[in-house]
Amino acid sequence: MKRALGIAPLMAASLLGGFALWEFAAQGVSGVLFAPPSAVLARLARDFASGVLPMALLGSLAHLVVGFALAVIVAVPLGFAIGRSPVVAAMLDPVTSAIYAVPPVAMVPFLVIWFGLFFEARVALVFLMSFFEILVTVTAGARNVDPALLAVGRSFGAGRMRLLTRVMLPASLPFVFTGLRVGLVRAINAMITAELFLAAVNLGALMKHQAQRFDMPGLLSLILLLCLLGLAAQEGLKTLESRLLPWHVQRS
Amino acid sequence: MPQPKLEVSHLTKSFLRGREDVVRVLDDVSFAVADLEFVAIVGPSGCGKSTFLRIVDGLIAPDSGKVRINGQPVQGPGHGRGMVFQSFDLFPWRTALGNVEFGLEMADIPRAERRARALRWIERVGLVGFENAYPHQLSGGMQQRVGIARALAIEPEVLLMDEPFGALDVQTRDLLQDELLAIWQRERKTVLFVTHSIEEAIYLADRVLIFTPRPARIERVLQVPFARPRNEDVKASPAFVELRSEIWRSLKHGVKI
Repeated sequence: MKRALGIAPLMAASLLGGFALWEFAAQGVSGVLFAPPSAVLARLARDFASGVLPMALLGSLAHLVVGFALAVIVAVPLGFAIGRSPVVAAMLDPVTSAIYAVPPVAMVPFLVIWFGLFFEARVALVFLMSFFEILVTVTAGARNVDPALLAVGRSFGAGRMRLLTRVMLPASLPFVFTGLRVGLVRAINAMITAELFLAAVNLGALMKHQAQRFDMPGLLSLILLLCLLGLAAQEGLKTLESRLLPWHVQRS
Repeated sequence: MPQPKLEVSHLTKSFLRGREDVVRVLDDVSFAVADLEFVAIVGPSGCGKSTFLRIVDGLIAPDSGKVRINGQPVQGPGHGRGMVFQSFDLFPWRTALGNVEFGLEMADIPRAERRARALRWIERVGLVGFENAYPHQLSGGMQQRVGIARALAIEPEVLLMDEPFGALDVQTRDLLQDELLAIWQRERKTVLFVTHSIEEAIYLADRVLIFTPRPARIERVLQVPFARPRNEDVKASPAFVELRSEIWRSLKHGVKI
C-alpha cells in the first residue's frame, strides 16, 4: 500500500514529462511530418466521439480476443505437459523451439493460402504470435515447481491428480500470469500486424489511410490508442493477479 | 514386550551416483519404537538420517526391508504418518489455516469438519490471530508451528520430524522444543525425531539412536534417564553433560573430517 502511494506520483510525473517533451519537440516541425500531443489528443477525442474509432477498435479487438483465447487454451496445458513430462518434452521441445525462431510475419503468405485475407487469417496470426510466448513461460513455470513442495504433497497422501491440481498448478500460477501478460502484448502487436499485412480493415485500414494522406495527428492518435490499449491490458492483468495471487504479489 | 507402534526391519537403501557409482546409504537398519515413545536419531551430517525418515514416511522406497505400524506393513505415504520438514515447506499460496487443512483435504474430510479441526490445531500451536496470514508474513518459528500443526492435524500414529528446528535461531529453537514437549505430553504421540544437535536429542527424547556415518547403521542406543516434564535446568545437570559427551564420543568415532 505504502509502495503504491509512492509510485503513483512518479508514474504521473513521468507521463506528464513525456508529453511535455513531445509537445516541445513538435514545435516548429511541419504538420506533415509530426504532430504535438495536444493535437493528437484532440484528434483522438474527436474520432472517438464521431464513432469511427470505437467501431474500428471493436473490429480489431474481435480477432485479438479470439486468437489470444485460442492460444491460451492450447499453450497452457501444453506448457504443463512439456514442463512435467520428459517424454513430451523430448518430443515437442525441438519442434516448438524451431518454429518459435521463425518470425511470424514470414508465415503471412502461408496463412493467406490457408485462411484467406480476412477474419480467420487475422485470428491465425494473433494465435501464432502469442502462442509461443505463453508456451515457453508456462513450460518454465511447470519445470520450476519446488520438488520439496511436491514431496510435502506426496507425504500427505496426494495422488498424481491432486499433486497436479493442488500443488503444481498453484505453484506455477505466477509463471502462467507472466506468460499471459507477455502473450497479450504480442497479441496486440499481431492484431495490428494482421490488419496491415492482410486485407486492410479496422484500425489497420485507418492507419494506412492516414499515412497515405500524411495525416500525422490521425496516425499518431492511433499509435497512442495502441499504447493505451497495451497499458490497460497489462495493468488489468496485474490487477487480476494481485487479486488472485495475493501471496505472490506481496512477496515479490 | 507389547507390540511396538513402529517397527523397521532390515532397511537397506543405495543410491546411484552418476552412471554406475552405487552409494550405500542405509545398511540393514532395524529397531522398534514403543507406543507414545519419543525417539531421537542423531548422526553425522550426510549419514542418511533424512533418507531413513523419508523411507519411514513412504516418500522413498527401500531396496529391502519393511516398515510396520501397529504390526501392519506400510507402503507409500499416508496411512498414519505425519511429517514435519526441516525447511518448513509450507505452500506459499495457502494461508496458515489452509496449510493446516491440506492433509485433511487429502484425506477427504468434509469442509466444515476440516476447518474446525484445523482451527483447533492453530490454537494448540499458539497461532490464533494468524489463521489468514500467508507463510511469507510469518517468522520462521511461526512457520514451523504451522508445519507442526499441519502434521498433527491428520492425527498420525507416528509423528516424523526431520531436523524441524535446524533452520531456526537458538532462542526460537529452545522455545519450540519446550512447546513440542508440551504438545507431545498433551496429545500422547509417538515421535521419531531426526536432529544433528546432541543436546536437542537428549532434552527431548526417551531414547537416542546414534547412526554411524554412511552407510548408516545403528551404532548405539542410549536411554535418557531424566524425569518428565523436563525444563531447561536439566541441561545444566551433571548427568546431562555426561550423556552429551558420551554421545559425542560415539559420534566422533568413525567420523572423518
